[in-house]
Amino acid sequence: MRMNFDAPKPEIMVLHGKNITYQKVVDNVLNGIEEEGIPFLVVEMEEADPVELAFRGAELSNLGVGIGITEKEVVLHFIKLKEDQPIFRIPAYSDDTTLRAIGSNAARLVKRMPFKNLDNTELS
Amino acid sequence: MIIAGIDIGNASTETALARYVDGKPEFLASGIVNTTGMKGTRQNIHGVFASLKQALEKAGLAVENVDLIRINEAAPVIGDVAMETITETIITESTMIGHNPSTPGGLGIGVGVTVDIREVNSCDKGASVIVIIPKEVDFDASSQIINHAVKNGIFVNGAIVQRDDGVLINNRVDKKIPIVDEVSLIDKVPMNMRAAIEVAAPGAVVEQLSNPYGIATVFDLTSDETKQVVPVSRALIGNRSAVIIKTPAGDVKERKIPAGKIIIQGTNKKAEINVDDGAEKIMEAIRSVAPIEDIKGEAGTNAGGMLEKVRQVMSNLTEQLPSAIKIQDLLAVDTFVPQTVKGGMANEFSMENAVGIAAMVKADKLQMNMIAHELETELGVKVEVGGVEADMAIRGALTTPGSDKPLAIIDMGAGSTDAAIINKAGEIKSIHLAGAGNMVTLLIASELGYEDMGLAEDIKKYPLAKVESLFHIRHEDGTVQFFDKPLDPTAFARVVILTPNGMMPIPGNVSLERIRTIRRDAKTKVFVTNAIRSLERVSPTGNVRDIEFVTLVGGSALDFEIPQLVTDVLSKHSIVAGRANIRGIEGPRNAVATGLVLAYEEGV
Repeated sequence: MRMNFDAPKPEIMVLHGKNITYQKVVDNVLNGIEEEGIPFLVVEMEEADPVELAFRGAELSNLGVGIGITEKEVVLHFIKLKEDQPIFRIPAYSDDTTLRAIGSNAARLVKRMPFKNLDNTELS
Repeated sequence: MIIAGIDIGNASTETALARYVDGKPEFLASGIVNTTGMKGTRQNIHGVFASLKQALEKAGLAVENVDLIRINEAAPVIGDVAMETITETIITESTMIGHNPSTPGGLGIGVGVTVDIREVNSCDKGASVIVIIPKEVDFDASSQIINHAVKNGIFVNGAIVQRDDGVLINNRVDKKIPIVDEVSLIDKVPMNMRAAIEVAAPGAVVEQLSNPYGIATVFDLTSDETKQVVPVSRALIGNRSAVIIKTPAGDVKERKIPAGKIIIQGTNKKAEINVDDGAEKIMEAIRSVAPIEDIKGEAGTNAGGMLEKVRQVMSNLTEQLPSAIKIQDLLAVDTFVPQTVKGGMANEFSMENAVGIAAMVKADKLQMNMIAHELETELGVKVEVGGVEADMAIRGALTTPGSDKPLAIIDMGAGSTDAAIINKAGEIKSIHLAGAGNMVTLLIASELGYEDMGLAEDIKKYPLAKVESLFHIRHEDGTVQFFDKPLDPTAFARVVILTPNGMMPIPGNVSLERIRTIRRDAKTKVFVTNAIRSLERVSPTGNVRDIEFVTLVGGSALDFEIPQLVTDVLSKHSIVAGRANIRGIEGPRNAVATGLVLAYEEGV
């Protein structure tokens, strides 16, 4: 059998609205994913609900992991969960470390590593 | 008439309720509650009430119906446990960072002089440096500085980072360098010193810096100096990333702490043994001296302090003078304790050798008489103190279907392990030994470095599993269990304890296999050792092999693996051993309480 080389790359999908004013939030989340070493793709979408964005991302992602970011919230979703029950949701005004941590957790979901606590401490 | 046998144990208080008809007991109900207070003290009475009440309710009776209560002569044995570290590692003038950040950056080995990243551009052209990046400098700024310095002809050969930024920096620098991140105490890193950094590929471990000659190569060491770095290289074995900084007076030592002597006074012999000789030597000495009259520690040493503490606790409990308290048995177990390395920079710890000790004190019989007396006045029922615990236990154990005299029992409780043997003629010989369930808990807690005894207790009692996805777990034996609701994210990818109240995630990063090994080893070290030791002491010939049948009773016999561990080892001595089933219904519980009722007809 021939391998299908056109299969989509394994990536975490990060979805956010158009013409955003919260690039800093997005960057922090992306840094979290990058530090854990998992590829990601950022897509802009006309959509206001962060949970829907995140779930849409999970559907698009080959890894089943999506992050939705709006002005108000950052949401981490997984394809196998119910649409209205994401794993984590934090406010967009969270500090840099927490925003990075939710990015790390998206990657850790893929890597099957224990999550970082979103109050910025490892469970210990 | 109605008789209640009540057994006050270290952990639980059990009741057996029976009606005597024509001199034959007919058992009505049982009760079990947690023992209140330390065994053999006044506080026990609350537990006795609760346990009795439970049994009475099941039988549909009231306290007034009871004609006689028999409590055990909690003769013995109040056990206490202690732990003493006998080695420690000290780094003077900080020389190494050996830790495992989950995501270090870059790859390879780099050598240079340590410089704060904010001052790197004032270095001479052509200089080899290792940059130190404190948390004030973020990854964007630091990668720009590094790229700029490299362009100016400064050889930046590695980086030590305080934040979790290793991969981010690595992705932004033009020249690939090893980067160690998450170094919490970065301000302790000395500046202007020669340092070496090594980061291994994912799945690999550092090779150069975990090899004494590798360190010698990097730092041009003489043979004498190479000898000194052996503890450093040893501490770095198995890490994915490591840093060594050479300071002029730098030194790492592994040192033995003088723990002092234990003096064992037997009836005929006396032995002195150093605690740092290890558990095996101590146990050998105890065996050679038996029967023991008292065990003391050398005054002014850790060993002395440890044993005197036990004596003090017992003296407070029994209201006797410390000098009147005799330690009658001791179980020493070799173990190891993770201890923070003194002088380390990233909270490195090393496994230090330690000796765990369980001591057993023979308490005063009067205490039980006092409890009996108080019960009698409060309940208005006649209360008497029955025979020795182990004798009662063997009577209870004989109600196990398929058992007969001669029979030996091992009563594995929380505070002590007791053994008794009954021969064809009905003569009973018994022994109490130090070390049981509580000792296992202590060993698990110390080897995993937990302060929390409750957590160690749960690890001891329940099996483990690994949460492999948000929907399934893999049990210790490899079987997979699925759930239709997503599991709690805090348990994701962690090792969990399967308690009856649900999954409890274990903090830290210890693998399931390791926790399982520690748990099973602790149980083996205590219960298997004590099973053999106790049977040797009650065997008519002094040889374990001359005992044919053994039943296991007591709370620890309920454990999901202790009976198997003991059965397995005893079968090698051709002994049939297994968990008792008291009265065919109680399992290994209620042996003493049942025995107390049965002993009534014999007038013991």
